[in-house]
Amino acid sequence: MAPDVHGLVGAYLLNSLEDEERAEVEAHLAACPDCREEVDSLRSATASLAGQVAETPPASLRARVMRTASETPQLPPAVAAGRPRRRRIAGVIAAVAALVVGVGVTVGVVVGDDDPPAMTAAEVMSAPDARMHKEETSDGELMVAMSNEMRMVAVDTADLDRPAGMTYQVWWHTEAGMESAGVLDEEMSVAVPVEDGDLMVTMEPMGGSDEPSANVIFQMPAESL
Amino acid sequence: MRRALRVVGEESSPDPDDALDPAAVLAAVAGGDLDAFGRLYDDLAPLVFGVARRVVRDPSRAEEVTQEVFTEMWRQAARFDPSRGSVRTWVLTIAHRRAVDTVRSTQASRAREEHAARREPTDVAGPEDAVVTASEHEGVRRCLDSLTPLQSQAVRLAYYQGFTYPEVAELLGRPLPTVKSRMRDGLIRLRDCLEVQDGA
Repeated sequence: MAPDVHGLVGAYLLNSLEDEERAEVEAHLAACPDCREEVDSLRSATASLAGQVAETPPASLRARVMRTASETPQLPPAVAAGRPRRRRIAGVIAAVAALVVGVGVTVGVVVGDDDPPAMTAAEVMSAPDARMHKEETSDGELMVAMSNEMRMVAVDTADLDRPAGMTYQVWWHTEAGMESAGVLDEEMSVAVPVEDGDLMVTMEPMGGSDEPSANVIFQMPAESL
Repeated sequence: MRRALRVVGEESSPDPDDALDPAAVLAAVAGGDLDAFGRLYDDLAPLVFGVARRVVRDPSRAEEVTQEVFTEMWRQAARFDPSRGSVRTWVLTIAHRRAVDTVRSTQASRAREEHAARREPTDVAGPEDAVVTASEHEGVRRCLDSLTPLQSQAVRLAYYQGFTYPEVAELLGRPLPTVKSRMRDGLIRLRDCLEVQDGA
């Protein structure tokens, strides 16, 4: 890992890194518990700087914030949190999401035979309110199911052919950008929390990609699922 | 998970409605409790708005940032991990990042530089309300004063003005590695000073 990352911790906490360096630091933090500990230990000191500039917002803002909240669905708890993760792309992305506690982050669900997700695709698909979508592609049939009650989406690629060296990856395309929600390297299906955006499934090289390829198998806004 | 989070909140405070324990209030928010959300808003909005106002400057855009931060807090309440830090730190981390991202995406860095050149970078507004007690405010100020001038300027320019560290380096006329280091050791000194004070 880049040794320079440690030196960037202060600039990272002060949000004074450019996007590219910030991403490097976050990827490093996801894989380095000691660094994470240092960053966590400095977060509260960094946040204490806010107290010096506290300012009462206009009273009208409260009503707007409350109204927006009352109309905004809440995310379920992070599915993969707290369990040992295999170090693979989805795992790193999930760790980064948990780490940054940033705005609009998506928590990926880690799939793997020794690390079953807390909620399986089968559970979501068998939910009483699950709505199924079957997408015929040149590689076979993709199944996507959404349970509004669980606020989860299941993606099943069991009936899709897999060219050698290729895998399927699930994404959420939200206002905050493109986030991987899971790579189906070993499992055929995955359950992911619903986000406010477009669900996408793409074909990617084994291990998954940082950005989706042009090979989009499925794309649909969450509200249409 | 949601249940587990609630239990954590209840353990740290026997009364989940106790506004003094934000983790318990947030656990209630995670369960969809709008009243609890309102209490958190009342508690934290001056801090969030203050940061947004300082970084993005324009009051109506600062309001937008504040609204986005609280909406995000509402959405993600169930994902808050109390073992990683306090609710206040969590929200202010989101708030500062959002404010900085907003200002970067819409404002040319040139214009911000000129703006900052006209502005005394070390000025600090007074505390308002009871969000931050007077002694807490004084404590942070004292600790900020214990930083070296370069540490203090680097930290303030980045945090309050939203400058990138290369911009800070240029403004201070110092090499990049120096500025990076001063940001890090400045925050470390701030942390250590605050810990000593809290312990005292």
